[in-house]
Amino acid sequence: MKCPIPEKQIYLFCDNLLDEKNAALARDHIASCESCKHTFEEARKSLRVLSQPASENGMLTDEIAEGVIDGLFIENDSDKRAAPRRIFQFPKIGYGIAAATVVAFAIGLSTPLMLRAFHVIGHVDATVSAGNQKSAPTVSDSTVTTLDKAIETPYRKHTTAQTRETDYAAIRLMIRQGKYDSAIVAIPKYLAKHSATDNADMAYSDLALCYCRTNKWVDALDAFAKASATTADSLVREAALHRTNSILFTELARIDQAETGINTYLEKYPKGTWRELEYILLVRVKIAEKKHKEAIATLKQFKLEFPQSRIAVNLHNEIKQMGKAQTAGR
Amino acid sequence: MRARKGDTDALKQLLMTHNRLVQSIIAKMTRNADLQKDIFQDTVIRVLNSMSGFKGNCKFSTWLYRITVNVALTTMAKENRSKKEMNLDEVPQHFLGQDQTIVSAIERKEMFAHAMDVVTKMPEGSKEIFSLFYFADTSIDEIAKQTGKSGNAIKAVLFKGRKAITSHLEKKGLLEAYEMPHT
Repeated sequence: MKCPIPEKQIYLFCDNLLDEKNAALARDHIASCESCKHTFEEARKSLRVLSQPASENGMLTDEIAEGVIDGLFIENDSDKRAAPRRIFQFPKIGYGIAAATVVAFAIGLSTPLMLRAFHVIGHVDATVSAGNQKSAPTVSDSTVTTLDKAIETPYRKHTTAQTRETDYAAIRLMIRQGKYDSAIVAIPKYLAKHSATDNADMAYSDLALCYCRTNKWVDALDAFAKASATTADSLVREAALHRTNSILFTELARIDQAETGINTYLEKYPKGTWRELEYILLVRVKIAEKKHKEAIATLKQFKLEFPQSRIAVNLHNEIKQMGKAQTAGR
Repeated sequence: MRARKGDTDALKQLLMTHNRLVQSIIAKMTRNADLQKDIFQDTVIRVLNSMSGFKGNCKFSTWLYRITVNVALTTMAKENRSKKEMNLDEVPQHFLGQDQTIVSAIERKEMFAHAMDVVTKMPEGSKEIFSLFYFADTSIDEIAKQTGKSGNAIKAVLFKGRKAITSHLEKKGLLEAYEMPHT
């Protein structure tokens, strides 16, 4: 039997877009029709996916946002002095400079060591932002209004030479614009120019990221190794090891090497940031090696350490499928 | 009005006033912190560039949200093109260890990534309407004023988009396992 309420009405009802009369009709019908109730539940679920609570998403901070606005307006103000009529139409190169300045400024806002570690991972995620909010000593006043003030921050002092900042900001801009091949050429040049630079680990991490984005996995491994060797920060080393393991297994199918790396990680970092993901990789390594019993044992250990992780269910199913395939093979 | 005439202080003040809402729209559209910063920055640049073209026939906030949404969609589409399918490494760490009784971090991230994939692939006009409604909390009336479309046409776009996301998540087997949180 065809339902009197079209599917569209159910979605609109879910989104609170029906007038009172039609909403009442939809509500009554959903209550009495299993099929429409199911459609309504699915609509609700997908709406929920789209509207995550802000606390789960908020990564930009007021400091960063205001810093971006300030940084761009500094460029804009200087442009106004030069050519008052072009306040809102400064040429494209101006945007480049402005964007580069802001990127440098944004980098300056972040705790450098954490930022480097997450460059190794390939993206700066929310933990970094949250961590920065708690511990970043760089900007004490949200009303920082000039780049001069930004330069006074400890990170700026730490990295010293402004040319290095500018050079690196240009590289970050290339990465941001997806020009990974250009960045791959530019980063070694940068490293050669600024030998003994104290942000070599960040540069190598970015280089690794660019190699990953261009699917040059072996080169990426080399860059991660260099990031790890040049850093003084254990989090960078931890991140490099994790990413290396992931590439070895997922991209290069070097299962033995991946297994060794994962075991090293699990042994070395009992409270590691990527421990859960390392366990997931290890179970999948065991599955790939068709080591049924070891996969189960690893999963058991994983569940003990991460009892709330629902990925365990998926892993369990994968192991079960492997078992079935093995039985069928016999 | 002063901002339109080129008063940088007035424009800056306007942006400072609205910056939290812009942040919130961006945060709803992407979880990638790097990308969020890029989008915010590009939005401000776009505002600076287009301010002279702001006709003043709608609220500044609506105009700003529209720019934010479009910059976000363009940036995300570029990012999607340059990225391979999401892997486990990209799960934001703040998901881990939080709220895992509802649904695992990985599943949440995966579902959102799939949903946004559908959004970024919608036809040009549709994805703007969809994003303005769901991420910028813009009313149907405001969207109608901005886009010149009728209320019913907008609702049709919203339905098609929502249906496409639901079907996509269903096809991937993600919707069935998703448990609604107890609110």
